[in-house]
Amino acid sequence: MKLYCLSGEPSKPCFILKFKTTTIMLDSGLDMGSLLNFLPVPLVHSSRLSSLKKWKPNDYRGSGKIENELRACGTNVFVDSAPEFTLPQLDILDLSEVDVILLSNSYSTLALPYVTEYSGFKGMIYATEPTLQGGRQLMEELVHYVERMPKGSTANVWKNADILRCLPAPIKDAANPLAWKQCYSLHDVNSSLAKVQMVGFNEKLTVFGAVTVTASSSGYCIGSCNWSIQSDYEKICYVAASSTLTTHPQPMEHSPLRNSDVMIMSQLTRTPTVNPDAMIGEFCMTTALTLRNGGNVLVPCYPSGVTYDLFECLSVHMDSCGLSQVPMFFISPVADSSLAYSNIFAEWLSQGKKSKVYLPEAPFPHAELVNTGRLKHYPGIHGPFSDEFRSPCVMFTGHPSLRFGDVVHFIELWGKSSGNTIIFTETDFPYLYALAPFQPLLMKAVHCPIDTSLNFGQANKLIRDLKPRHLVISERYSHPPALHPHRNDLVIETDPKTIMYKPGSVLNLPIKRTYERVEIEPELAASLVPTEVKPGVAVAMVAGTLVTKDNKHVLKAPSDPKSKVDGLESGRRYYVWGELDMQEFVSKLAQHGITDVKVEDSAAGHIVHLPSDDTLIQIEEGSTHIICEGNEGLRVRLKDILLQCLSRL
Amino acid sequence: MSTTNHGAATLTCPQLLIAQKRFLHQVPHTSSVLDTQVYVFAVRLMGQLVANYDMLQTPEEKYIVTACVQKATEAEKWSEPSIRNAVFTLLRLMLKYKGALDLVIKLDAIHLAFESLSDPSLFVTGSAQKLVTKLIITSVTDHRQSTSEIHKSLIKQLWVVLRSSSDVAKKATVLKIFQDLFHEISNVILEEVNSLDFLQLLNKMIRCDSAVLSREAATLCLVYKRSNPADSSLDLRSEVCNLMHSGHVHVALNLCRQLLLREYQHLADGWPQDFLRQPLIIVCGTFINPLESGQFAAIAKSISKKSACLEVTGICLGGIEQLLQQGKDPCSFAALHTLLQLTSQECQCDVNHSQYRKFLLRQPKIQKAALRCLHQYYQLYLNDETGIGIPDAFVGSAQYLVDSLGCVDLDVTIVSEMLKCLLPAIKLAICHSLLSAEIQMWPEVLDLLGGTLQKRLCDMHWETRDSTVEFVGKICQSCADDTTVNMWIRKHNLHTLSWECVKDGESYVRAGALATVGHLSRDTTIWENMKIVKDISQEDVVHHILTIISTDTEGFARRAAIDLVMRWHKDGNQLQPINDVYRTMVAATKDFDWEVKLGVLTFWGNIIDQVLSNDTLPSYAINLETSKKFKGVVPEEKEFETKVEMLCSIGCCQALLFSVEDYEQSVRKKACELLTALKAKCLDNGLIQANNRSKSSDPLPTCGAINMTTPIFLDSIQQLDLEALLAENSKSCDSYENNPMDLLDDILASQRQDEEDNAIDCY
Repeated sequence: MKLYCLSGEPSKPCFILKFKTTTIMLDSGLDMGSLLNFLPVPLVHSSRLSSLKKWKPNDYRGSGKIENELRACGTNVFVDSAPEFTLPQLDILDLSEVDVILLSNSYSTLALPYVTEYSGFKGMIYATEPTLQGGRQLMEELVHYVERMPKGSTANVWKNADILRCLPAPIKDAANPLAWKQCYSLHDVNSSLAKVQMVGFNEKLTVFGAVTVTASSSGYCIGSCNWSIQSDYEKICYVAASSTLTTHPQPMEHSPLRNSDVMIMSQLTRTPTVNPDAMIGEFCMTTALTLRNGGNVLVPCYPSGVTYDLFECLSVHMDSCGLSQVPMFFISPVADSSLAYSNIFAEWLSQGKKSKVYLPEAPFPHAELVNTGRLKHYPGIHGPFSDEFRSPCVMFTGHPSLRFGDVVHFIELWGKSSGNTIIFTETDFPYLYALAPFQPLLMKAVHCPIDTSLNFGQANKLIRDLKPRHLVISERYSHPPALHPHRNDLVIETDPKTIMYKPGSVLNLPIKRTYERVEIEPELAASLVPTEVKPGVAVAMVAGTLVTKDNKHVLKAPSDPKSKVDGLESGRRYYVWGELDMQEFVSKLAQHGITDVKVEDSAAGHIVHLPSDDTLIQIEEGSTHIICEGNEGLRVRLKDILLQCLSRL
Repeated sequence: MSTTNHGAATLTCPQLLIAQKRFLHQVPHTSSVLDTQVYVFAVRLMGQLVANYDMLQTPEEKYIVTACVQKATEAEKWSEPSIRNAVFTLLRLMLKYKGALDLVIKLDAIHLAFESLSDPSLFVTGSAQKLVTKLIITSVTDHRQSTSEIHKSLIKQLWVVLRSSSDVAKKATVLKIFQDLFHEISNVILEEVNSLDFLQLLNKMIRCDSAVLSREAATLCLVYKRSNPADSSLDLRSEVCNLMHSGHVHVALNLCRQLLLREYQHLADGWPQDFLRQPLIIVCGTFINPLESGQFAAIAKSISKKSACLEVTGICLGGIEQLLQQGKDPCSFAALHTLLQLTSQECQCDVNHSQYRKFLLRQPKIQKAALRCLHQYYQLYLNDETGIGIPDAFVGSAQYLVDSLGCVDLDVTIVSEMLKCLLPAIKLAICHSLLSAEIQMWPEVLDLLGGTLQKRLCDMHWETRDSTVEFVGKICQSCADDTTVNMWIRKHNLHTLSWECVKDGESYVRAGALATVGHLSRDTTIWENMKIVKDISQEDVVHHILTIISTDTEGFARRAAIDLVMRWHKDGNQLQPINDVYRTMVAATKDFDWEVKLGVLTFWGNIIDQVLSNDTLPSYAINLETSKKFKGVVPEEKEFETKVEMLCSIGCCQALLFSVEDYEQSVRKKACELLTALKAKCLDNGLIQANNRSKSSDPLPTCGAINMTTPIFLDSIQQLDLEALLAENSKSCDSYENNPMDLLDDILASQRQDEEDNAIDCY
């Protein structure tokens, strides 16, 4: 059994598991960290961004034209080109061999078009309905943002190793930029997602008869799940982004993940030192403070997930602070569908939200906020938004990388006033680097990372509870984060059974397949004559033809009935078994005229000495040796006497 | 019926006494049909009677008492705790009369009281305990009674309970009885009980597992020592040391805490505070080698578990707080500062090495106790004008408070305690010029505090917003004169944010913010700056306050708004446009909240005082600019009639007349008082005639129903019998409680189901 670790970022996982005869891809996360090396794409022309100084290394003497590729903002250098993404290492193996892709949550689907399109992939993709719809929204938003303001040219010269090493940090530390890819198209998104088959929680799906895969709720976001991959005698669990906190999704299920042979764990929190509850509080306080001071609040966000919780908590807090009249705007090309879908996925929500449906009420309060006009959502800043816009307000919009999307416009608009605040809640991007191309910025920047996935304490507790025989984790989780080198509590407690992987690793998982289930055809089963070898255990000899089809093994009666007779009768093959009763053996020897018998107990069994025949019989468990100085006749007699004392099958 | 002194009427009015006796006489005979509560009432009534009247004088009265108590002790009734409580109280009150002790013995009440010494109801236990104590003291002191030697047997019985009973609760009550007895008759007890045996038993009990028993036994030790200071067999200091060495640190420290109480202070000369400080020193890691002192080692050993550590630290902090309240400095400021850091997760300093950190981290009880101590320290230093005693750790402790206050997931009560501490800390810094740049750290601390307060004013928890806005108000009230604080408030927009809190969704916060706005408005610099920053005028502000009075859904906020209006009215320069204010206040007369209405009436009272005041401005103030501000309100040297006319025109008279008919008694009373005073002035000035009340049956003019003119108003107050109304409205509901005749008749009547009167057809 092998596990290929294709992703360099444990929060954007992508694994391939080769188990039995199947090849299963676990998640397809897209690392968008590379976006931060690019210049933002403004929605309307920005003289500031376009007037940024062109940059080239002082000692550059290469042939490629680099002048138009890099621009400097402060001490940072950015690539002036269409944004590119870091893909999982898909070239490690042939994607056409992948039989099935299991998706855990909508955030782990973003690399899917790179996997399924133009790669020869012809397998199945399994995901829950909310994961599919959420993934679609994220992809559509991404494509919309990137395609809305296309860059004329693509910069590639700067990726040359000679140039790269001359660039300032952090761009010079970019890992393998030559492998970066531009964004896929809407066509690819649709084509890829069309291959997804929707599954429900705890629905058992068979992959070519070899394994059964089951999704169970992970509590992270709507429809998010963990997967258990089970054969008849082995169980592998894949624990992706999970949460034990009480938020809007259905709570995490533990029991399907218990007692696995291998548990692969990924997507732990990226902000282990902060408590999401406290950060929600900080977010609400900062928002209220800014609004009370007459400023605007900008929240770069994804169109789903934690954003729903932010709407809920913030609206309650604004009510309690007397700020009910301040509008909240939600701008995203998929805002409408995101809000609408969230309220029809009741079966995937927490019990509290689910029960609202029977009242009947919308599970999320944002439906009410939209109805009362407190939350206004628009696909973009053009059109009706400009009629409704008023200040001060709270603006939720994407993209959290601040490199494209409507958020770029609002930073340009509000960035010059210290009364306004930008609050970062998403944890995918380091906020200071995200803000770098907008500097100098007077707008206050507040970091309230809200990551509800498991922290190290929760993960360790979960591992103790689930008791996997082997645990597979990223090696990053085995030592404290770089910013907190002394926090030994911020690690996964490892033991010899923990297997750690690095990006690109291929792990041999220590699962020894000992048994395989074989079905016996009823006709053949009826012909068996079992012999009871000990109470409750009976054995029988069987001869048949093993037929293997779709990874199912069936033992059928031999096609030629004669061969059965020959097999058992003509060969006279039978098996002896049981423990030798020494007293019976000695008495049988006496019956055959061997009376001079001395029996000694040895460490391994017994030694029977026949002095008159100068013969020694060593009887041990599983073996008997007759030492009779070449007297073959005596040996055969003794063998026969001994076999008479054993049970026969 | 007399309207005054009804309590006395209960005693003196023979008719009433007869009624009460009649009621009580009937109670035992109708007890089978009476509700238990009625019976409880009857016994309590008897208790009230015997408190002032000897009910054992005549055989008839004695019969009433006996019959009542006997009936009460019947199994069915006795199971009711209120009955038991009432009977024990009755018997105790009765003991001051001759022959009562005999009656108590005859009723077998001693046995019942002993049984109830561990009653499930604490009230019954308390009353039984008091009865036994009183029985013994009466037996010792009152030689009139034939059973005066009863105390000996009772003390012996108590002693037996103490020695052999397995009932911990009963033993604890007996210890309490001994505590009371030692105060009064120490020598008598020691005649019956050997002092050595007694102390030995106490010693054993102090070391027992029961916290209650241990505490009561320790207290009794102190009481014993106070009563017998010369007894050398009980050395409190040695006792405390022994307790510590035997692992009973918490008992020893509790004993030390008690020794700090005023009544026991003379028993110890400062050593209890040394003992109390020791756990704090250990917990804070100041003490390195526990082997140096057996005592320290004993304490360290006893607090090796979390629960013990928290308990001992809690007692220790309680003792330190007690000392600080008495104005004594137990010299543990630095240790306290360290302890606070130990409890705080945010603290990354060198306190992490303390092995007790894991016990103390984020323990709200310890945090609160430590903060209370810190507050007391600050107060202590604040009272010291020299400032010599301020420790070096002062600025550090304030910085800790500010740092910790920034932590988002802090408990709301901790935030409140922290803010309470910060107030004297800032005052202290001002008093001793610590805010100057000489102390490098302060500007940073203040800056950080400003930022944190801003956030806290927008906190998720309304309790925190409320505490913070109140804190800003208090800072402004007490320190705004200081330039640094004044600038600090403005720099961090605390004034504008406090104003924004007036619009908060939580009524308590709105109310707190209104009070703070009152303080802020007293400082012109701050107030004017607030209006500039928020781009609002004084009229806008007043209009908003008036809107709160008119429309706010919560009484707290409306009351606070009225208080603010009154404050501004008193200051004389804030309420513009004044006519809108009068109109709103007239409308507020109809408020649903009686406290709001009382506030409104107080406002009108102030207006009347101001308008009718004969005081003119002193000559030196006439030409001052500020004197002109009063011109709109106070007509100078005008005729009295004109002044009354003015009161009518602004709606004051209309509001008062409306309030006279309010459904709230307190409002009617206040309105009557104001109108009575106004009427007296009208009489003095000849606007109305005395005894010229017409018999007009016209209803009083209602508020807003008509345009009140002076003649109508004068006519109205002439018609009103204000003295009678005032007398009626001054009646308390207590008068019915003290004069229960009607009530008693009602109770009895309701029980006479077979009587003919009940069958009367209503039609």
